[in-house]
Amino acid sequence: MFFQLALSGLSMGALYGLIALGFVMIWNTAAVVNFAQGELAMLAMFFAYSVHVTLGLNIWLAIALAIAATALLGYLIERGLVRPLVRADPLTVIMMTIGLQIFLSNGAKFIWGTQPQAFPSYFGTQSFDVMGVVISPQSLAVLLVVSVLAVLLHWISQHTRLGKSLRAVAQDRETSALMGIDINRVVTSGFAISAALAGVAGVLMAPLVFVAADVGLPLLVKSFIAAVIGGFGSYPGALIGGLLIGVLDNLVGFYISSDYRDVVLFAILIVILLFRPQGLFPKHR
Amino acid sequence: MALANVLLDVEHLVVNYGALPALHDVNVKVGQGQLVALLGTNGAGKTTTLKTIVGLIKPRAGTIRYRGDAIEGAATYDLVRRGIALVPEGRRVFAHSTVEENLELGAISRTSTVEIAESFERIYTLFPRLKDRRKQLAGSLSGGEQQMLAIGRAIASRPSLLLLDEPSMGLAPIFVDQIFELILELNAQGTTILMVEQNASLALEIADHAYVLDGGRTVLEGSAQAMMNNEAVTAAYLGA
Ligand SMILES: Nc1ncnc2c1ncn2[C@@H]1O[C@H](COP(=O)(O)OP(=O)(O)O)[C@@H](O)[C@H]1O
Ligand SMILES: [Mg+2]
Repeated sequence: MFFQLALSGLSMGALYGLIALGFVMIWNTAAVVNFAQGELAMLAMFFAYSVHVTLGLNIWLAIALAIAATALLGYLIERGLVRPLVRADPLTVIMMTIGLQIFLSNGAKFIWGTQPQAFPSYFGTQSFDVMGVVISPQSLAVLLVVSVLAVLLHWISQHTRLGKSLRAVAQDRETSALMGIDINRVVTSGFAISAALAGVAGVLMAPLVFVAADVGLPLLVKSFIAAVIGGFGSYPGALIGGLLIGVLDNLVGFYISSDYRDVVLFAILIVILLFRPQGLFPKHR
Repeated sequence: MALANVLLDVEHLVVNYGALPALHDVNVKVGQGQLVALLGTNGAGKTTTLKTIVGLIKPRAGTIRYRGDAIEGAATYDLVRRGIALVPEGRRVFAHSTVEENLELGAISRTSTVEIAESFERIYTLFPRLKDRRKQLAGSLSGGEQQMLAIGRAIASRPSLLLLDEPSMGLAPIFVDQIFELILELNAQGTTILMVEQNASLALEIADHAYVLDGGRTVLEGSAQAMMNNEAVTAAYLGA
């Protein structure tokens, strides 16, 4: 049972980690904490739901559209809401992203209602049995996709112009401009990529949970904690933090009580902040 | 100053930090191929002048012309692509990146791989130490090596106009000599240079022309030779 729980926790955790990656990317490049990150995953679920279930179009088309729409939304958020506040007090920017979180969550309720919707599994329903541990094809696909994405993102960050620019801007914005990097463009790309990551997490998660307007906030909290545990700035740290949280969440839910999941999560966060405030993997860029 | 070929022309530059005035009336001209020193005491406005030229700070009033075009208000990345590079005060290397990655960032505005390879060749010839340490993190280099890296990184963008902000600051004397020789060499190879220096007598030794700032204004200008021989000048403004 332990391995069973750990394994299914890993796939949810990988998704928290993916959202946390986006969180960290925005923090590193724009010094903004985007509290709307979880809502972007929620919106991706609804976009895919509307296209696939409501309109009856092909699932892969629905997924592609949902991710593209989320990325576009990330782009628009940067252009319309973040950039005008570039010289504002950091607190103002935090208030703005909190406001955006509330707006998107309530907006989704307004459009799609409050009734949770089931999303069909699109990787089939035939589970695998590996030495007594059962894994659904959706969970397995999640682990594969997140692994591939992690490798791809690492490659992009090391070998492409955009990746190098993102890392430079994370280290020193002004000096990056002196290198001839168009900072605004890099920051906008960072927002679009991190929104797309939340979008991928959303569409992968949709069949594993019920699609509902209130899933964004718990996703935000878990991925935020994942980012903090990981050192708030480290990409591998965010992913590992997500995996840890996914597994712990499942184990606590089963062995203690599902009522105590959040209590344990926050207790761990507090302990880490007290004894290792730099996180488990500080500044590994 | 009558200059046949003015590359950079700063006139009546006024800059504020919020409500605080920093520059009141700065005037600087740099001719094609010249090595010009910008001198003045701490807080005179030298760094602010350089940052405004590369578009990091927007001026309140005044004009900045580069190759005859007004550039005040242009974006920094655009000016770098047009051939202006600044080696910032305090070097500002990317400490968590390797020496090679720093140089690659310097060349990021260039698209021709042939040009980039040439630049690397040139930089490694000028600074063999950087070649030896190319896989090392820039943060682990000594101050002098970091300054070489900061200059190398600026050269990687193949600038026509190189702005240097206190290249000798905090360096051991042996490195100061090396850096100054290098600046002369870059200038001899055709790069126009505007250099801010605290060490005025050293700067005047290698410069063609010099400007003195005081309280955000250009208060003096002249050939480096004339400045050096003017005792009133050296006593009042250069602290020498
Ligand atoms: N970021 C800043 N904010 C406010 N005032 C500044 C800032 N940077 C410089 N100043 C002020 O502007 C004036 C000129 O500074 P600066 O250009 O750095 O002088 P210098 O490089 O000649 O030492 C000084 O009075 C300094 O205190
Ligand atoms: Mg200065």
